[in-house]
Amino acid sequence: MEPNTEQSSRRDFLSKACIASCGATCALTAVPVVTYLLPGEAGAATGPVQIKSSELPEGAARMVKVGAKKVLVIRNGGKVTAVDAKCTHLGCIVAWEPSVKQIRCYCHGGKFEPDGKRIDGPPPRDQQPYKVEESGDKVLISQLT
Amino acid sequence: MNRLRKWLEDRLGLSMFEEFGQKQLYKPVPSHANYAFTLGTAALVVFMTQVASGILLAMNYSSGLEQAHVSVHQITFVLPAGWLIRSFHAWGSHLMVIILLLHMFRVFWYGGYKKPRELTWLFGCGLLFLMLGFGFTGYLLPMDQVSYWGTVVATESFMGLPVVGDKVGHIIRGGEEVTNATLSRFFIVHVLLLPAAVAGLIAGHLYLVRRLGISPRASVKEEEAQGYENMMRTEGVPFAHHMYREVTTVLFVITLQVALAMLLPFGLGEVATPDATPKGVKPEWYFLPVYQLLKYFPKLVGILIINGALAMFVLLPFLDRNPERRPGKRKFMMAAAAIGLLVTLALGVLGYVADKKIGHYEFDIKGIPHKVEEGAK
Amino acid sequence: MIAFLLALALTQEPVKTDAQCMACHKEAAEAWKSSVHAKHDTTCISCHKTDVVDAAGKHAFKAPFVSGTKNLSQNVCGQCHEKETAEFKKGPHWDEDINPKAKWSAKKRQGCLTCHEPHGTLPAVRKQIYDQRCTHCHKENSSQRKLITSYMAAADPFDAELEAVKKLLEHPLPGVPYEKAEMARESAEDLHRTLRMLQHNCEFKELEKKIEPAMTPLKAAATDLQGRFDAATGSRRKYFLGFLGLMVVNLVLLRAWCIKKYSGGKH
Repeated sequence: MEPNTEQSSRRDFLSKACIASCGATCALTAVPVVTYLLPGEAGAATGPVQIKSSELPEGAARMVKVGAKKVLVIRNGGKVTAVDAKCTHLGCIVAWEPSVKQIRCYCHGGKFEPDGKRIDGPPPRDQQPYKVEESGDKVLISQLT
Repeated sequence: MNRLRKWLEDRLGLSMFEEFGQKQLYKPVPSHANYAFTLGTAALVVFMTQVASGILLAMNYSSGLEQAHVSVHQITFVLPAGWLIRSFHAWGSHLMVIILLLHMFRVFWYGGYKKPRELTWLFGCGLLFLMLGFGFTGYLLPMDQVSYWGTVVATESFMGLPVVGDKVGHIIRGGEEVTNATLSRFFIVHVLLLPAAVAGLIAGHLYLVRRLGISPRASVKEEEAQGYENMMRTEGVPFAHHMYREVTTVLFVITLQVALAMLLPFGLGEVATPDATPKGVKPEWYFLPVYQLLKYFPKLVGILIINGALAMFVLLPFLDRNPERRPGKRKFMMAAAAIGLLVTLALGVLGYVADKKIGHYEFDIKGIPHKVEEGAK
Repeated sequence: MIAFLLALALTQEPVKTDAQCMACHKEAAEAWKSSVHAKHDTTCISCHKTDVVDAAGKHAFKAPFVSGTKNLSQNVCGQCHEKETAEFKKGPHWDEDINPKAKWSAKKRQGCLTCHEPHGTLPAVRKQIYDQRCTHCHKENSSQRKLITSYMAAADPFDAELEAVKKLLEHPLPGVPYEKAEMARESAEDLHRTLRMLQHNCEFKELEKKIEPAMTPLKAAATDLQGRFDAATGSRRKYFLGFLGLMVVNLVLLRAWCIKKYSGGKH
């Protein structure tokens, strides 16, 4: 059949309207699906995490979780420090090496001071430090404001 | 745009697909095809949305015995839009069974199971049973009291299905007791085995439907004599003319499913206690007639009756020798179907009221009401 | 003499089952059937222990049988309700030498039976106990009555609020997290249980002090949860109507397009 221009322009409009309407519906459907697949991280700011002083002897380290982040807590030379455990290089978990009194990352050889300052290796930045408070027989670790 | 088309044409043979699409679009369907004939498409669409929502759910589901309920709780109450996706999926399962039953009834009414479409009917029956299997396996996954004990109880009726039901029941459970393995089995069956099997059967079913065409009103003999294509030349319309009905039904079904999911969302019961059965446990509504029937007869008799009825149902194209397709010319078959339907419905209702107290009446396990005097206990 | 004792022994029957008790103590058995205790699987024997009955139907009252004589509460009720009995002992109503067979109104200090039915024990209701027991001895305008009514004025709303929260939590709305309310409910239930136990010492002023700080968070939890349920329901209805409108538009457009394109405008 030979559609005349008026009919075909009406059909064109209809096509475009259909596509627009269906597209809008698909977009609307995508919203719950995407929010479902990418839920926000639970637990924003939480209170300080505490460990017993007795659990952290001299020269030892403990891993704690502050909110959703892993934090390495070290007692070195009497002083307690806490740093983000995720290496600033490519995200491996760092470890305390008591023999050399340094924080080491075994993935690519990053080296840090006990307070997180970068010494050597591929990591581009210092490890993020955390606030440490010692009260009584407890050690409190929280985010630096 | 044209360059893209040429690129695809040279590599994929795009025009071949387009020709196939056009051919299918203008294939004739009998002129009496109405909205009832869109139920098959509706079922297919619901299946596809079930797969989509199921995949989303499976991303956050854990099939370990302890984690199952916890993960479903997370989905239902914590994850954003999780409740919507889960309710959508749960309502979809109910809708699917209803649509399938309506579709089978439509096929029966128009005699679409007769020669040469017997195989289509068989594939369809296979699909129905697989879909019930979906419902059965999926129902257990949240591991709450109702779903766990409903499954245990429905196993009775499931074991009433064709001969191998008993052994299959044990294989499915992974032994006598429900363990981690049981839930894992159910999950894998629900998520891998059944979808693959259903996809295969759907492909076969659709191929047959397309190849043999929708059954005409004429009798089997007339169709054989005239040839389907000739018949359609005079009394057929292109599928494209019928397509707007399909679109309408599909949109209606999707909207209905979303409505149910948003306005009547599914909650979650207490976590299942495998060591203690709560009172008043029943399987899902589509298993109720079979479940109730088994209460009236000794087990073997009941299973025999169920197997017999199902065999008659599946082998219908071979048992029904009447070449007529018009409902008016198949009075016996129509009567038999009406009786079968009424009996099934009655059993379903009895199954629903059994062990329930409604108003002044208490229904016993067989669904028989007993009047209860106020204050007497 | 030996013959007499033998005869006595032969005509005595040990009572070891509930059915044997209930054969004679019909009233008590009837009352007990619908009681709280029957629901918790206790039996006559579990409280009173076994005994021996002679042909005339008289109890021998031999240990381990515990009858309603001295120190009833301790030996019978106290077997399970230790904490409540301990609290009751601290209170003003405890007496070492209680005769529970005496009418409860005759003596000032009674045992557990002062407020609780021995066999047909329904869950104790504060107001009922106050109306039927406390007020019988403690006169109007007495300081005791004032203490109790003041306590009830705090405790009853607290119980009501707890029930309200429990009802909300019975059917949580999918998609609305209810942990906070659940936690509030748990701590309120703990307090509720503690109060039920501590009430036995009649230190109502102290108990009132416990309720005050618990009331606000409980109320807040209830209001918060109900508010979030209502908000969610409302917004879902709105979204659905929007979706429905869009689908109707889709339907109209697609139908028209289908018909136009494939049916040449006819169907």
